[in-house]
Amino acid sequence: MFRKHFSSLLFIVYSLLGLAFLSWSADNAVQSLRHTVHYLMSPWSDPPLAAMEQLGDTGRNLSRLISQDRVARSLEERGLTRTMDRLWCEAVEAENVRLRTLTGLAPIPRYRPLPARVWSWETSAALRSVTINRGARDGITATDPVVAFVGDKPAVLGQVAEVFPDKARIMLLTDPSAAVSAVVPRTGEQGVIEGEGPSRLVLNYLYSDTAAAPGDEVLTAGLGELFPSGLLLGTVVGLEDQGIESFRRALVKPAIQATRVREVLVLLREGRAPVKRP
Amino acid sequence: MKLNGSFWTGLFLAGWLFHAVVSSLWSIPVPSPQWLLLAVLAVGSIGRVAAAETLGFFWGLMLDAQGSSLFGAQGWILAAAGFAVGRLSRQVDAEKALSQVILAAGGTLFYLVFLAQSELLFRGTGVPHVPPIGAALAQLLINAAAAPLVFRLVRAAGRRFLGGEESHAYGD
Repeated sequence: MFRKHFSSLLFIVYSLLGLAFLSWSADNAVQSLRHTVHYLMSPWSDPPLAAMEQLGDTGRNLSRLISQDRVARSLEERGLTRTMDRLWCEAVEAENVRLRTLTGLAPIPRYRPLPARVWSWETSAALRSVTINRGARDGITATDPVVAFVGDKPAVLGQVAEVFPDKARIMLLTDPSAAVSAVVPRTGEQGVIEGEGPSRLVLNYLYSDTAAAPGDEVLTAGLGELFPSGLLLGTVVGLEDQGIESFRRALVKPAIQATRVREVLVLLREGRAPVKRP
Repeated sequence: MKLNGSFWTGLFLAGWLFHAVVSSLWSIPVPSPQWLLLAVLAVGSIGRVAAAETLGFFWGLMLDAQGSSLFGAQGWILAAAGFAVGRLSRQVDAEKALSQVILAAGGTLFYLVFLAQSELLFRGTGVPHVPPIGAALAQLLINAAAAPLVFRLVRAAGRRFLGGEESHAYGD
């Protein structure tokens, strides 16, 4: 009898106890119990929290380690590639030296960049030259090419026209007396680019059936070894007849506006020692 | 009575420890499942009525002491939930997940309604702690979703430690 109704009796006991707790406002009387429970629970939560944080740190470190390993592998591959490229360049250079010796060709000049600041502009309307704060004492000589950067591309500003001990005057590419061998890389056509005023260049001696078109970049061709090849000169904006049969010319917008330039690089031919300052 | 004291004591402590650890670590912006309520329902579903209501009563008192509900409210509700499910265990096939979900949803509804009632009836001073309907609904859904896991664990532990057979004797 008792066993059969044990759970019911138990439930009645629990109900009475619960009702007693609720009715007698035991809530206030159990504050110490609440504190004890909180005190007992806090040690349970701290170690798992610390463990979770540790686990999180470990995961982050592992992720960082994997990421670093990938970077290291990538760098290793790039390093190997660079090493192979260097070895290939050395072999090609050695071959070039041998071939130049056999054929008697002069080597392509190498250039060393010398940074300089623009000192002043010529204030005429034609704006044909600028002066920089480096001169003969820095190793600059007349005809040295001068470049500035357009974004990350080196572009021709002009060439040294006159050298003073601490200054040099740069004849701008847009000067009508400036002329540089040029190439349109998209088509491979070569010509001579000449200045036509502060904001205009012309690329002369293109054939009448030229494939050059507006938007094409024009770079230095490197002929005559005055300018290294591959320097940006400008962009084709139009084509017109040159007045000479079979030839057309391209109108080119200069890559550089001289009035915006503050710093330049003078390209000194290597092998020429700079003059020591006193 | 095949009540194995060590098992039930162990379950009481393990359940409380699990609840304490999980509730302190729970950091996602949804309510934590009510593990202890689900465990009481699971114990009741294997026919262990006395054990279910005893666990429910003492776990409930611990929850009352830990939380802000009136002392004795959750103790009685969990005991009543364990008693009711234990009584129903003959009629319900609690092996099925659907039955477990329904039991969990019904148990949660019972819990929420009676908790709100106890607050309205017995809270003498201050504002009654009645959960908003949205939070109550979310709790019900989360409990229902977690029920199969808790039921499976409790039933597996019961089979492992209590000899395998379920008891539907009212007195255990």
